[in-house]
Amino acid sequence: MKNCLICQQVMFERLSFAWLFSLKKIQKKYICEECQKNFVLIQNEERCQGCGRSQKKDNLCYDCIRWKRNGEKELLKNRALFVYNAAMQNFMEGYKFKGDYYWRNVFQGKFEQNIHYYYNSGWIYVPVPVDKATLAERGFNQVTGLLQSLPFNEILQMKDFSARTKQSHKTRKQRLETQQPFEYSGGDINIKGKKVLLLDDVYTTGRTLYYAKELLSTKGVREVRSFTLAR
Amino acid sequence: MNKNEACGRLYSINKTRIKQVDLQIGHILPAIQVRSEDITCTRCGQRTTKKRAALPANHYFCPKCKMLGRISTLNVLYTIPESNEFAQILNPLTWDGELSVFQTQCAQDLKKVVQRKGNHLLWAVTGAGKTEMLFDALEYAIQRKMRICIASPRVDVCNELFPRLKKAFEQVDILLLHGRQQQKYRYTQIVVCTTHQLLNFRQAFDVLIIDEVDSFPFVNNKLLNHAVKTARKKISALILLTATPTKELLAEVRKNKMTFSYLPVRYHGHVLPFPKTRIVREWESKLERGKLPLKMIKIISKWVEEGFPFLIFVPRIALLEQTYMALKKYVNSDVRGATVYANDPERIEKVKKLREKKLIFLITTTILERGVTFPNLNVLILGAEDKVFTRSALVQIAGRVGRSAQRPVGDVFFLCQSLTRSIKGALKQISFLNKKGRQLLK
Repeated sequence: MKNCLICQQVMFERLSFAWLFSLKKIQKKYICEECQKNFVLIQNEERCQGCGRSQKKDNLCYDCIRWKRNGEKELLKNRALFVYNAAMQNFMEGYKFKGDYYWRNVFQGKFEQNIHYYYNSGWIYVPVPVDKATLAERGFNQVTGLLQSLPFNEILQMKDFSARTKQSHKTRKQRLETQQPFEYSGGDINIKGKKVLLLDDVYTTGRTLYYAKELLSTKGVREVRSFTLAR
Repeated sequence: MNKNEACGRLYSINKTRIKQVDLQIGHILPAIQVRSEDITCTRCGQRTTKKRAALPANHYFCPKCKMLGRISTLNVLYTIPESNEFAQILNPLTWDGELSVFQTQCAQDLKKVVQRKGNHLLWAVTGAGKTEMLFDALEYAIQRKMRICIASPRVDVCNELFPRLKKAFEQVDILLLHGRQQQKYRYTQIVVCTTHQLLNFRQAFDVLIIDEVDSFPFVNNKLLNHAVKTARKKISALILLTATPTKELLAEVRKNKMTFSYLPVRYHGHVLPFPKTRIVREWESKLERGKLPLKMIKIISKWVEEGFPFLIFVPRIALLEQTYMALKKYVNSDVRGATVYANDPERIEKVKKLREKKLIFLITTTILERGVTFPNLNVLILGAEDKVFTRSALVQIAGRVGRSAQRPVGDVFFLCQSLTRSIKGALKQISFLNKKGRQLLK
């Protein structure tokens, strides 16, 4: 018997009859069913084609139309697994800000499986970087933590701002006004004409991801899309 | 960094910023000790497997005390020895109440403990006036510039203690410290905190008092022992207060590891109301059908007639609403009540309403088991056989009743499917206390 990582309640393993006669291993659970219910999956047909937000239809949402109007030719076609709701916010608090690295296991499998499923071949996987000061404090990059065996390339890095405020501490307006925070650190990795999939934990305004896209486009990348855990 | 933040404390600092601390006045400890199989945390003393504690690049953090702010091998802990830099206060006690004869005796015992820096257990019944008995000892300690901490496993107990201490020692700087509030740490002569917060201190206190030692959620004795051992100075006084001592604690006394005082009478000179048990079969399935046991209805209608407020305890949060709905059917609509549970946002508000008589009853889980005092109360436990009602929880719940001098009696009912070991234990303890108490009063 184990305790749920999120609510600390004891978890009971429900064994099905089918499992008894199958060769499957018990899938390791990290959170209880009650907590699992609070995370809402975004359905394929019910999401914005531009940013992956959960909505009734699959047309472009208001924010994405705004990106287009502001001169963005090709949208990121972001795909997000979960709705960024109170449960997800609480998860991010525990994982990123309280810094319990073990919590990566809650979504690691699902995150990777979906990347494999939707973006199988011909993609270069690029996680969004964490700045040096945060990395020294936190000790991990929350995005690469969600990856286990996926081969990724860390070809972006944060510019060295001495007094950078974290994105998560800003208002929407402040976020949209930020300057290009990234620089290319891929050296001579050949990305010309290739397809890049940006990986991040949360898509909020899209500002950071579009900066990453902008930078990669100047390096001759053919297409840039993004994949996030939550939207 | 302010020097005072590390004085008698463990101050966590990133290894990259290690040059910022003054090694002349303080020293540095590793945050985590890494061994081949597992890691041990310096702050909480707990072990964790490497798998659970891992960070990338062979770094490790401690998940056991992360609620105090994560510490890891990326940090070190900086500490400055406690210097006791307090202002001289000649007459700190601003309390003008009076102690009963029995209380005075215990208060003198406690003062002696502080004088000789020993370990002491005070076993006093619920409502004996434990806090007031501390005042003499505290006054003595404050006059001699000792640093004092009063800790309890329960937030509620801390919240209730804090204003009373402030009133009793108006000139002394007192800090209330627990995880649920925003008040920042500052250097004070008296600290009131939850026992978890003790982990942040290191050889800081000359006098360490733990109130309600045996209460949930600090049943984990290893963690408590570690916290106590590291937070107090090597030569210091330790006073444990309890109304329901565990066998282990009493064994310590028997082995002469601690001195002991004992008070089986309440401050108003009465003994505890003795709980009555009633067997109610299948109460849970009745409740599912929206009904209450007949025995319970009888008790409650009597209470409603008398007009005294009452508490109903149930074992689980899920039962609160069911009990409330069922009860509503049997009482008039002008009999107002509410349900309260641990994370209830209106918890404090509702308790206040009961005190102001805007509500007549509350249905609650074990969260109201201690630390709260209402005059003229009656209590009832539905499902007292459940394992959440430990012996000490039952004694505590019974102890809510008869606390005021105007009405030192009251009803306590345990409604249960069967008499469990805990129930029998609680009854035995109360009858023992009352027997001793009556002898004393003769």
